[in-house]
Parts: sequence; structure tokens; C-alpha cells
Amino acid sequence: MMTKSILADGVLIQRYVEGSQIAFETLMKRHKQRIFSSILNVVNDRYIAEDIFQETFIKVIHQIRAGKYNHEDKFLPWALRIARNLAIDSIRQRKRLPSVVNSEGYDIFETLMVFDKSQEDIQIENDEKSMLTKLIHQLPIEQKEVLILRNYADLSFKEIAAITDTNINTCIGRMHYAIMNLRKMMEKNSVRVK
Amino acid sequence: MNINITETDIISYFYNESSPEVTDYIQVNISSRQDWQELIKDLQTLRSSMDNFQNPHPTSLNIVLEEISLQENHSL
Repeated sequence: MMTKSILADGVLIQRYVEGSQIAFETLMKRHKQRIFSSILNVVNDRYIAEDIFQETFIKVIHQIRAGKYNHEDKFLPWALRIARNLAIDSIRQRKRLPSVVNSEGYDIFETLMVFDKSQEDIQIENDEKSMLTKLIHQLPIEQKEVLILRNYADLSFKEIAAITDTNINTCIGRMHYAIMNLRKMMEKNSVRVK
Repeated sequence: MNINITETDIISYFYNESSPEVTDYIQVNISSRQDWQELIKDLQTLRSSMDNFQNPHPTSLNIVLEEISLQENHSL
């Protein structure tokens, strides 16, 4: 029986360095879903996620061509580290946009956004799973990124620790806090997921 | 043998990252620990809510591939 051989990421990168564009295309197509989903879930905006996805792979190309890719590293965690840094920069930039604070100290735009989302949930979706996804987006970024990197990118806690410059216990601790926060938010929003 | 199992151990266990001793201990004792079962149920719910993988638009892939071609032309 014939078996289809799958080239390792390191081999594809080597072939790209030697001039094979198809090798890089294969590498990108292999990981596009995990990388794009991870970015999308951090920034929560499809258009921004598309930009960051492009920027990530363009940076990957430049770094490989500059000889900065260490073959001992796994490609996916390495690319996700680049994507993660770009996503965090994008969130920081968006936070620097002017905000209008009302007399009670709330950012009016943020309050309106939350209100709009709630209305949308009630009128359009009424979907418990999608409500949980929305609650995940309200978690602090450190907790959200551990959830995303563990569940979407399927990285180990050790790999997540390397990407986020923390340690394994901190990563698992953040996962635990995320669960506790989600429990509270689900209770507050009367969300039940079967 | 009695091992002090924390929430951190349960999370590691759920993702198959706990040591063999801890894994065995949890498997033997989980039926009598409702708090562990609840945490695992929450982790399962969370993971199943995050199974909606999405693909980038083909345009994004083309932009990256164009960049590769540009790089190739520069290096010629």
C-alpha cells in the first residue's frame, strides 16, 4: 500500500530557503487555521486578524531569509509567538484611541459596545455556546491567551510559557483563574452550557 | 499513598500533562471527588466551545505568496 509522506516543518523551511516557494505555501497552509483562529480569538475582529495573519507570515519569511529561524524550535510555537506579539501590539494601539468617560467613570463606547452585543445575543443568536465564546472575550488578555493557545493552537503549557515569557505554573494558574472568572460571569449572565 | 491534588494538577491531567503518578491517583479517586469532576466538566465545556476553527481569507494567503515572489525577485 502506498503511503503519503508528510514533510516535517523543518524540511519545508529548508526547501524554502533553497528556493522552493511551494514548500513555504505548504507550510503556511498546514498551520493557517490554528494561527488565524488564535489571532482572531485574541483580537476579536476579523479584519484586524487578517492583517495580523499577513503581517505574521511576512515577518516569518523575513526572519527565515535572514537566517533567524532556529531549526531546533518547533515552527508553530515560533510563528505563534510572532503572531501573539503583533496581536498584543494591535490591542495596545486600539486601547490608545480616545475614550469618552461618563460621570460614573465608564467609557461610553465600551458600555455601548457591551449593550449592543447583549441585544444582538438576545435577538439573533440565543446560542449558549456562542454566549460562552463572548464571555471568553471579556477575560483578561493573559487568561484569554492561555485558553486560546492551549485549546486552538494545541500548545503544551511549557510551550505557552515560552511564548508568553512566564513559567508553566503561571500558565496553568491563569487557566484556573479563567475558569473561575467564567463561572462567575456565566452565573451573572445566567448562561448555562450543557 | 496519599497525594495532595490541587486544581493545577486537575488542569494538567485534563490536558494529559500530569505525571504518571498523579494521573493514576486522579483516575482512582475521581469518582469520589465532585470538585474534580466539576472542574473537568468546565474544561470540557470550554474546549468544546472553542472548536470553531476559522480560516483566513484566500486574499491573505495570496498577499503572503506575493511577498515571497517579491523576495525571490530581490535576491536574483
